[in-house]
Amino acid sequence: MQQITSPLISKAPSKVGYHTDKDKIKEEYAKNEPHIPKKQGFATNAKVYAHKLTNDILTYYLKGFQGSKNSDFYEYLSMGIVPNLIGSFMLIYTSCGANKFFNSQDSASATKGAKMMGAGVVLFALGKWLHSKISDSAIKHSTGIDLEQKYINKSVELPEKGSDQAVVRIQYPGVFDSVPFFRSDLMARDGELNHGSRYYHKDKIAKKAGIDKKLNSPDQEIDKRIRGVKARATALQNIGKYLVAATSVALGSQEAFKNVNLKSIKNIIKTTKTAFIQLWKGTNRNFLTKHSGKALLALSGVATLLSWIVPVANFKYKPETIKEQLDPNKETEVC
Amino acid sequence: MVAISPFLQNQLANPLNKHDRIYENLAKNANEIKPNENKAVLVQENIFQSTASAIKDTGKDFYNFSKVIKTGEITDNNLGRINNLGMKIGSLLIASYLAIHSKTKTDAAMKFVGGGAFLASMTLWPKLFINLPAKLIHNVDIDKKYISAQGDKKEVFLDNQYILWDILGINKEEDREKHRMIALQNRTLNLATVGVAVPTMTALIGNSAEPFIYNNIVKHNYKKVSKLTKKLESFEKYINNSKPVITNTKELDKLFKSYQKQNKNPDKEMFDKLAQMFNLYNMQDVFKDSDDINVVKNIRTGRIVDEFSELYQQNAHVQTSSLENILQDIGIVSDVKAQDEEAAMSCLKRKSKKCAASSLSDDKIKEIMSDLKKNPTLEKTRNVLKNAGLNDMQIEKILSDERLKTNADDFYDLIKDYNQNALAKIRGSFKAYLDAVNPLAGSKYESVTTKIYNDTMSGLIKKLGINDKTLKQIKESSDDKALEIIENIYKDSIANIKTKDEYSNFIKNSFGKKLIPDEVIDLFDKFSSDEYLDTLKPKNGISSLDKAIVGTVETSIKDPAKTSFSKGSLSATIVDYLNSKKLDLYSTTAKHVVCSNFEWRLKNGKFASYSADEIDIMRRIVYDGTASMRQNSAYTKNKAKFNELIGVVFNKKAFDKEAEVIPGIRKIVGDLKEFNQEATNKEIFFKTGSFVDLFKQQATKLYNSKTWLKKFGKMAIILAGLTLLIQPFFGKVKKDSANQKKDGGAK
Repeated sequence: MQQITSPLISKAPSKVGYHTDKDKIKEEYAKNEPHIPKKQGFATNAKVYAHKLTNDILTYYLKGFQGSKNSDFYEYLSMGIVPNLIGSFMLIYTSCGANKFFNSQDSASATKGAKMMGAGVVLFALGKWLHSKISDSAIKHSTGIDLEQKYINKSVELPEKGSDQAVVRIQYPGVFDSVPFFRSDLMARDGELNHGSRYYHKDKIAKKAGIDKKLNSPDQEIDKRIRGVKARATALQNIGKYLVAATSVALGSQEAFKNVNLKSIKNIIKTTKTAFIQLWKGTNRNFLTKHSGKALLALSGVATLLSWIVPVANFKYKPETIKEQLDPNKETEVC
Repeated sequence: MVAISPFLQNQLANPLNKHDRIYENLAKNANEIKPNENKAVLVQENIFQSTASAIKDTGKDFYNFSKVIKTGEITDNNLGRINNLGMKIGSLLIASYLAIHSKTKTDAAMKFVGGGAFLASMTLWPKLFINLPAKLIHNVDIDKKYISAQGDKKEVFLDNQYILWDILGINKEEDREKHRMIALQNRTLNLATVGVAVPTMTALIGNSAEPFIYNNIVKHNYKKVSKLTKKLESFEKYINNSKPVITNTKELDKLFKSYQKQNKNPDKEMFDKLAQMFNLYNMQDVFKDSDDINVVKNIRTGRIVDEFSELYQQNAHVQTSSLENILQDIGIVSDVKAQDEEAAMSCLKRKSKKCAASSLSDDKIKEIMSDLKKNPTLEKTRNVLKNAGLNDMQIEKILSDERLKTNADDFYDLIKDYNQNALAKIRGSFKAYLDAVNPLAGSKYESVTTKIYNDTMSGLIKKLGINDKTLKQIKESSDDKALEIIENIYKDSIANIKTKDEYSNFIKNSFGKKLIPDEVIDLFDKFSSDEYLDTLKPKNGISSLDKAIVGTVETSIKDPAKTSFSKGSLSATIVDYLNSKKLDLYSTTAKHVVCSNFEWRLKNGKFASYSADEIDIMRRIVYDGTASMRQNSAYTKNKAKFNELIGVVFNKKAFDKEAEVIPGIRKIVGDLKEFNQEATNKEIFFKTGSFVDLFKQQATKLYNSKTWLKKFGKMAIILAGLTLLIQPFFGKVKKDSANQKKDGGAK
């Protein structure tokens, strides 16, 4: 069995009652401490989304309205899902009514307009998601950093009035949610427990960055790079996803969606295809109507490409910047 | 005493390394370590200052964005703010794209209003309906912001578990708890309501802004037209300066190239294609208004094909060697009487000597060739052959022979040049003319006429005092049922009128002023006058193609010295269009008077000599008659009877009372009578249809907008009320929770 050497997991003598068995420690951690689960990806993200939504309805809003001191920032952010969903539905609903109001001459256009608006709203969300997804996947492929990575956090609440039982709630924050305080510790712990080295993840990322030598202290060099990737990628995505979303709305506004048959998936796919062609071709009325669709599509493509290239280009190893050894003279800020 | 953790103890027992020394120092100086002074400061701003700083902060977002791309460094707060920046850019893009593709200016403007209203609602809703009540009721400013030591501007109550009490200056534990609770509860309330509130607010803002925008655009359009037509010279200048519309360039090249490739001479098939391409109907892509498309649809361009054929004869050059070959092989029926093919065939069948086919003699061919000289045109060839004694049929046979090679390059160049210059100019002028007419007469949303229809009808519904229930009935019933309801409305209104003066007042009150402003009718007349239409005349004389496409110049009968460009299909179509539009406007606005007049005369026994059936037909003409003769003739098969009844209904003399309060109504009625009796193909221009249809349309619109406003207005009021009513329930601190916090300790 491999020895665990870490200041975090003490090698204390067994008489104090400390675990020496690695598996037991692992088990203990999985039960009580924040940790990165092995399973990551689409299914996990979907599960996390569903978890947030059900908890919004069942607990988070209730706690918020009660003014509970246990309502934390994670819950506040999760609550944002609800207005997003309701708002999207309302936009379709109001446009249904509004269209009746605006186009008095053609009452049948109301449902057609609502279909287009519906397509717009759905495609807006889809476009936003797709942009971030593509960018994140490309970045993961090029840097080894999974920006969507989630960890399991057990938040032990303060006892509420009238009860002395502390409720433990499970939360799924992202490892890289915060740029300056991303969970480097969890990465280290995961490496230590599951892969035999505290620097397992950082070493992998260092290799992706093109640093062939094994670093003595990858944290110093790699954390900076991770922060750079996260900050640049998120900044670019925060703009880019709305550009793609705008393009998606433009796609939804094409004539094709007026007559979409929502019951048939085949028809939806065919309609989307036609809409793409219509968006690309535009109409001949003037220069703008002819080329605005092309411009939007190009803009989306460029934005998505940049959100991959810019973070990755800055992530890659450049010989003059690499410091292989910890510099004892360098002042470090302790947070 | 500082309690030393077992961990540290363990470390202390071992020899110290560099890392451990930090802990040692920490332990030693534990008593002296104090938290740093908070460098964060509260933001104190009034509403104007905060608006100004919101703009400034957006500018900072741009800076932060460029900084993070360059350095990779940013705080979480600023990274989140870039998300809002992206949303603003995205909204602007969406509004721009949709506005570009909007069919009307109102629509386009509304896209930006909608986008702006959406962003504004997102900030206004919590400010007005969450934060303001909380401030007034609890004196808690949830929106309070501070600038952190890192320079980030944040909300004080952003994180329920991390509130900077020391800079807020709230010292009592109880007060802190109350503030925290109220802030959290209201922030939760905001999240719970904002999803419904923002779209509703956006829709309400949009709907209140829409009539304002619409009216201003119509006004602007009208002003533009009046200004343009103030002087004929300025209008002429406007038409002359219009941008040429060049189309088909690629298609022409493709067509010509395909003929050149196949070594084919231009033929009827090509001329047909060219006629199709040059048809002004193909301009429909350039137009956005369906009316314009209808107008170009109506231009007859059948003569163009002949013109192309003629131009080909004049401009294509014959390859003499190929002609010589044909002349040598061709069998000529010597019977001159057999002018056509059939006769020649029967002649040959009879085997008469006279009919025997023989070749042309070599001498004859030589003579013809020398007469033709070099590169003769088709036209010249035809003449030379004729002079040589060949008949029409024979010449036709020779010239349509497949082996005959012509060089049509000159013809192609001519057509291309015509397309890009003369015709492009005509297209441009025509479009400019319709562009000028449209804000006045178009059936599009923002034309002056559409506004007059809408205003007249909605005004009428209000004046007649029709309630929402009846509006709904009209909206939901079939055409026949709606006709009955509207008939009854008029019957009831007239039944209550006793004297002639009361009737006059009724008519007067339903229309406050004149039916249609004189200036509008003047504009109609101007646009259909010869002077204005003459501006469309091609400037460099008229070519045969121009004639075929746009019309001819004719000498005026009254004044032979004057020529006018008015009988061509282009201007004739415009005149047709304008006339029908004007009558349509009359019909819409005057129908109320005609209906009232009909019921009034009926009540006073003026139709005693007519049978019930005849009265019924008259009623249908009045209420349900449209501009379409075909449709109207369904009322009776007897055309003479139909025309007689129209004469009765639109009898100018019967409108004496009405003429007192509405000057000019008699002329309108007279025009309507003629119009109804005249069978034309003008109906394609008519969108408005019968009075009942118009009534139903307007009732539907009014009812929909009323219920829409009711529904969403109600929703907004309920939501706003709820946020107010719930406030007193917020901030109820449970008594022992403060103590509990002390016991539990900080997390």
